[in-house]
Amino acid sequence: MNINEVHSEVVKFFPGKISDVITSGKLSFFYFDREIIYDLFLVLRDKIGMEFKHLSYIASVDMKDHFELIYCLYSYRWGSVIHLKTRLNREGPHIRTISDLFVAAEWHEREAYDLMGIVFNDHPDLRRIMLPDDFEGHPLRKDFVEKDNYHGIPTRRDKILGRF
Amino acid sequence: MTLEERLNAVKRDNEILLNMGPQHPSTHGVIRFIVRSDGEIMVEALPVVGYLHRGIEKLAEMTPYAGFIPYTDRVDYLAAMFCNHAFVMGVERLLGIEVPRRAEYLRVIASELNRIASHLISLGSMAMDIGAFTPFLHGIRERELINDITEMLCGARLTYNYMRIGGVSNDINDKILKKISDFLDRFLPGFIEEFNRLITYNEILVKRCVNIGTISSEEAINFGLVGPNLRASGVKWDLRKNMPYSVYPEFKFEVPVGEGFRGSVGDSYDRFVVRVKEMEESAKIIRQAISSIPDGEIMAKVPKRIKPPAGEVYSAVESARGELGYHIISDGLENPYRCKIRTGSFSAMKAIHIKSQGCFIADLVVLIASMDIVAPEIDR
Repeated sequence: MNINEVHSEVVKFFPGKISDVITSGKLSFFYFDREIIYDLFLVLRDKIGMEFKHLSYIASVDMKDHFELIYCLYSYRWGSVIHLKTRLNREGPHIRTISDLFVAAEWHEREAYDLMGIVFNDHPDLRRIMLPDDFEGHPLRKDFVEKDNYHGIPTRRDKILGRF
Repeated sequence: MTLEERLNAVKRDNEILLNMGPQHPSTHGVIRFIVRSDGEIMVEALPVVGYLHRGIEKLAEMTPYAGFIPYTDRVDYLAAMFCNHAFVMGVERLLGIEVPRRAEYLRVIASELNRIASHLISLGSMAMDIGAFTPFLHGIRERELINDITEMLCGARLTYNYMRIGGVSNDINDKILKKISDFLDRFLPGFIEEFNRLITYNEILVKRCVNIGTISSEEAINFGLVGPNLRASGVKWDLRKNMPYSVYPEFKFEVPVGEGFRGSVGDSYDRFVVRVKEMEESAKIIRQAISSIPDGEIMAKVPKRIKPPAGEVYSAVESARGELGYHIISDGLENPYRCKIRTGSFSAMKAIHIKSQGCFIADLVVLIASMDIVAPEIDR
């Protein structure tokens, strides 16, 4: 079951909320509206004939004027992999969690929250995961600037080796 | 919400909090668990990760494509070859480079040697966590031989930086081939049999592992487990077979799955046995590869300045810890625009959190060890 077949199936359920299949480089995907995320993933997971039961990863991307989330799903039944994307606003990005559908999503969403600052509504345990709790900012954003010191420890090392 | 608030929110009066790690011999790296227990039985073991976070994904955005390969070694120091392989494969797909067949064979040989080395450490340290010290030394002894081979092959014993965009850095010669075939003669069936007699069929290990942390196949898929952990739960999924890459379709090998060897399907013992069987299969692949390695170039023609056209790619390989993938987004410049790394240990940690609930404190060590966690892969 490739991305085109999946697309033609789900577009019946959510007319107008799903974009056409886009191919960029070696990857084909489609965009979906962030309001329908729960219903869409429920269909993808449970509808007979799709059974995308394995969430591989969630990647967050800073596209400068907006954020994008990439969801990668596997169907072991049909041996196929699909990628879905959604767009989020630059100011206050938020989306509903899917950790109640996929346990795996819980930590991936925490990672996206920690490093990119995307808020997942109704998430059971939305805390920073990689960085300390008192860290300020979200480092994977393109406009992130590292602070000069962290708890009195300087983070700049430009002149330490002198001539290097 | 901070960690302290999270703990205080759920703690009941009769429970005690116990700290395990980050510096603990059986957490396999710098991982911390906060065990909330009621007597001997855990309510949960809350993982606290991030002690080894180096921001590799951010570094990728600051480094040219070819310069990022040494960083990928550090994603998983026990199985660095796979991290190299997945990344260069992704860039090659973006660029549309055809890799010479000899280079693909060398990649397969190096990767499978690395898989054996990684599993030896995993199995040995699992046995050591349970209390058997000797199997670890046997594992390390065999791994030294593999390290010697990779040192001859690419000059490094641990962080290889062997693969290049378009091929590999060094060619193989008869001396190395002889060394590999000597190693294989010693390894299969000799060492495997010895190892099985020493520890796999050992009644103490069996009793400690059977029915601990049993994960059903539905759970394993939902938890996002990959690799040996997934296969131990009875799901026959291997990227080498199901989504073939490189020259893997040319080799004959089996995909071992958990069958409930002594207890139920998907328990810690199944994960142990599946890894032992995987080492045998890897040895078979290497035997086929060294007997049929073609002549030719080891590097394709690659432009001096690597600037892939704008676009995206997701390339994944079957690492020793399961699917290891790079989602690379290129904007046509010298550095990747975004590089997301999907690793196996990250999802396994969440599974440990769930499976620790209602389990004995003493069994937590078995559960962690059987999942084959490597800390830098979680934190990246």
